[in-house]
Amino acid sequence: MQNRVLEYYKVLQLPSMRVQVILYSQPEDVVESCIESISVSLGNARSKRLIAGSSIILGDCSGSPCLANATVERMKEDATAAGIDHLEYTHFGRNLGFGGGHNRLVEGAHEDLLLILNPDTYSSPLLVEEMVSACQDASVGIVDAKQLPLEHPKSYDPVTMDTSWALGACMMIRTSVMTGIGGFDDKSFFLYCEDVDLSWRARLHGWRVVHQPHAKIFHDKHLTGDGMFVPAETEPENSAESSLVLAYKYSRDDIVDKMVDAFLHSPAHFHRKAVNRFNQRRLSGDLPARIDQDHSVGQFVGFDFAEHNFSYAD
Amino acid sequence: MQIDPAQKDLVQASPTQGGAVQGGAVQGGAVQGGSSRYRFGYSEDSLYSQLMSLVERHLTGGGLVVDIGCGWGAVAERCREIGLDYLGCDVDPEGLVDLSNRGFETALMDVSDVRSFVELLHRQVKGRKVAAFFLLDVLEHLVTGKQLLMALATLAAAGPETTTYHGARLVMSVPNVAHYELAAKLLMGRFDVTPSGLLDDTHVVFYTSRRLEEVTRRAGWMELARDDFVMYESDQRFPPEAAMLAPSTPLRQFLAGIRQAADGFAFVNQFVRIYTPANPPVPAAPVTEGVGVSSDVGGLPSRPILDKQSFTNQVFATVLVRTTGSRMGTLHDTLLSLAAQSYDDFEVLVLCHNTPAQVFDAISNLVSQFSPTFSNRVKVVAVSGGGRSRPLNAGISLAKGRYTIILDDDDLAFPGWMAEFHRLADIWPGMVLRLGVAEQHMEDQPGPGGKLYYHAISRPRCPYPKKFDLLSHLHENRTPPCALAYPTPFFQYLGFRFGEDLPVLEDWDILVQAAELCGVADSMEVCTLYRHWNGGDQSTAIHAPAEWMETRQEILSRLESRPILLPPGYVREVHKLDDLERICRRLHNERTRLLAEVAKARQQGVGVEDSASGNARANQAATLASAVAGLDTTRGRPAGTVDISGTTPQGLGYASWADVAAALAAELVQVKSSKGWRLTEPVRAAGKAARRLAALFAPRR
Repeated sequence: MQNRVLEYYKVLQLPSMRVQVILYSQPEDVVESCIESISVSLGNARSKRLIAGSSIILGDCSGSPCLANATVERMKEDATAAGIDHLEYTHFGRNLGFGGGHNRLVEGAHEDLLLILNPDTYSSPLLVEEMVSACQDASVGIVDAKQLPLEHPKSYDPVTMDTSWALGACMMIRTSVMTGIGGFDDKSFFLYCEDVDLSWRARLHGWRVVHQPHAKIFHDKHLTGDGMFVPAETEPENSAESSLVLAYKYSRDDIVDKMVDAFLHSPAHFHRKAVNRFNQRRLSGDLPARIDQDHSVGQFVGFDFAEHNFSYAD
Repeated sequence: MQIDPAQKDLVQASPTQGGAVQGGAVQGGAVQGGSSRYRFGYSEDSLYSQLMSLVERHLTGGGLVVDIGCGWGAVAERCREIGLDYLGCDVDPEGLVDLSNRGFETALMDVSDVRSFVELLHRQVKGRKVAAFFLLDVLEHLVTGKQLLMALATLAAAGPETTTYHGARLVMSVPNVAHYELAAKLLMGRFDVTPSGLLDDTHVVFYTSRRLEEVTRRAGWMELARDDFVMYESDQRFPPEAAMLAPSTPLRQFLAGIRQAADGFAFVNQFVRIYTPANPPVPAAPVTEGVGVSSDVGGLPSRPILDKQSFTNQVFATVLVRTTGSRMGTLHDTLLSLAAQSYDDFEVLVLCHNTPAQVFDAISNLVSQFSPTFSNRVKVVAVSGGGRSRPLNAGISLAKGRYTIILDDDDLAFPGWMAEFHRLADIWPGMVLRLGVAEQHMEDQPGPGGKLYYHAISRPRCPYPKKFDLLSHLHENRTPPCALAYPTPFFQYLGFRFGEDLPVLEDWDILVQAAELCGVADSMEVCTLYRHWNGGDQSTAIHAPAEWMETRQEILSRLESRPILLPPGYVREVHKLDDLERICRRLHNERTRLLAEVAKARQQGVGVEDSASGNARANQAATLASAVAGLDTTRGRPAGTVDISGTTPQGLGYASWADVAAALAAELVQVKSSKGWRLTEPVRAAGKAARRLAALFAPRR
């Protein structure tokens, strides 16, 4: 309640913003393009007096640094020219994973709003102002953006814009919410579903998660010659295991059983491998504590975590 | 004015030299061989009568005509008739004597020395009011032509206090070195110089319309009016049986069509134009021969003049984003997808078609908020009037890219879209570049605050052929514009434009023409998303099916009216077309037989239902009826299909067979997939033909 009152108070002031990007072996030009576009968007929002200060923090999970020192220096200069107060690059020296990396970066964050952003994105110049606009409703804890060219199929309420969960590729979260709910659950999720889990935990704490269709990012995706979505190399295996963990965490044994059954009958090797790893974690007690016993936020529609407008698997 | 090819006598009556004018290359008096060869008379329906009609319309105040290089002064009497005084000037006294004997003032003058000529002119004119300078088939004889034009312009541009020359017009006729028949002769390796005519042996400078425009503009003249003299049969049509020259050959029809499309002057024998002194003087532009076209499109800005240097400095591509401003959200998406391209050597023209000023400003504001690395490459252009093609043609006129790409304001490009075009262009320069394209169904969603939301309601699918096939594209369009990059010279040099008279299908019309001339290079990479709007304002919803059908027929009629160039490897395809006729006849006969059998079965089915054979026949009748109903569903089908009902093989032309065969094939595939097909033996006979058709329509390897 105290946090909510604080947020109502904050909307009367211009919020400050921190952008966090986790890198993993991306080419320099991809990262530079991402930072250039989000810098412009931050600059536009600031010039329209929608945000106060802003900073961009990059955390690198690669084995060796993605960015050369000279590149970092150039990016700092460009960011300063664009009106960004601070740009910082940290090479972690090990792969902390998506959630772990962001948790590390958010330590000591003093900005009001946090923008979690993938490095393979190009932000609309209006991205920040549209997302901040959605955050002006003090009941909103997390906002996600529309991805282009391939939209995510999850649905949203056409009136309230409420949605089951927010995409981690581009989500804005109040820093107080992020820290208040303990950040990403990086112990349970290494890659994939950590954004679903974060959204659902925020909702368990009473925050709304909304979609802002006017906030847009371009997210590098590919289609096969038949128009089928080509997932990232790491996605199928990691998302299968994470899905099992998510269903387990949100107390949906029925879904866990269905997934295990489907995965074991799947011709894909990675599905059986995901089940094996999940079972090993279960035996070793390495699974998260179970929450949402009354299923108030966890939404499992088939093997999806929201109603979908369509399926890429049709 | 256009001359019927049958009026061959006009070849003789149409001089391309009006007098013997001493120029740099013909020093020393009259043209060798005697100037009498240029003794042309005035007659109706000739170059001179056409020119004098123009003069009569634009020189109404009387005054003195100074006919420079007058020869025998073929227009002198006509000048007098319309109230103009006449002064004939020439370096050849023979014609001047004749003129003098006819009662006209003459002066022996040599224009090879421009300064001396001007001094002599002053003395001869003696302060009289000069209405016009005539240079009739003279300029091409002068290496000092530009200097002469500048000197005359200087006289004519003098202030009103210098009443003698102030406001004098320039009237010229100049032979067209780019007449189709000269181009055809060059293709045969011929440059047939003749005693007179288009390639008179005393011509030292050659003019195209474009060059004449540039030279006169640089000299200080502004065109007032034109009525170019057209001759379909020039003096260069020899031997007349040559396939490139004979009027009825497919080769001439094809090449002349290309030549005419390029600048519209294929059959202009002489440029007939009137100029007024430019005030203020028009800034000089570089003279570049043979580059581009100069014709404007309905009041739109003319295309930029390019020289070789500016050509090599061109960006890779120009992206034309056509918008009416009614979908700001999707326009935002489209621009975002362009800003995110991994290869950025391209410019963007946002073509705002009939947009109110407020919307235009909003679009400009949206563009300005992008990163300067992108927004500096974007121009927002207001285009008014015309239909769907108008903004595209406006963009083509302004394009500086080597390739021109259309991305409408609801299409999306994947990040590697431009890079893939560039990769293809490196391998297949000059060809139409074609990428894989997916389509996705979208839905609008009214949201809070009156803002329109929209989202995808289907996954992307790829219904378009992976490889381009010209024959199938002659049937219907199978490639959305956002998957194509056209070589810009196809528009700016060959003169092709999107048909402004076509309400729809303008993209198909231009694609088949470009594919025919440039060929098509395919990429299998899916790099763009073509979005379909359920109930939205996409062209399919705006335009009635009848309009699509009529436009399709119009495009097909145009294709039928001219020869078609097929790429290598199509002989086999043509053989297949030959086979199609036989197959179509069989299909037609099969259809007729099925109809008869259905009727018979219906009759016999009554009263024999108790017997096993009767039931079988009744069932067969039902399935046959279903099959025939399938065949009859061609009525009222949307654009891209044909109505074969009621047609007979005898009533069809050869070119229609592909349409009929494709329609029959499609219907038989439909029938084949039906339950009735699987159950009905008689229809299977037709199925064999369908399989043959399927093989015929299989992509070429």
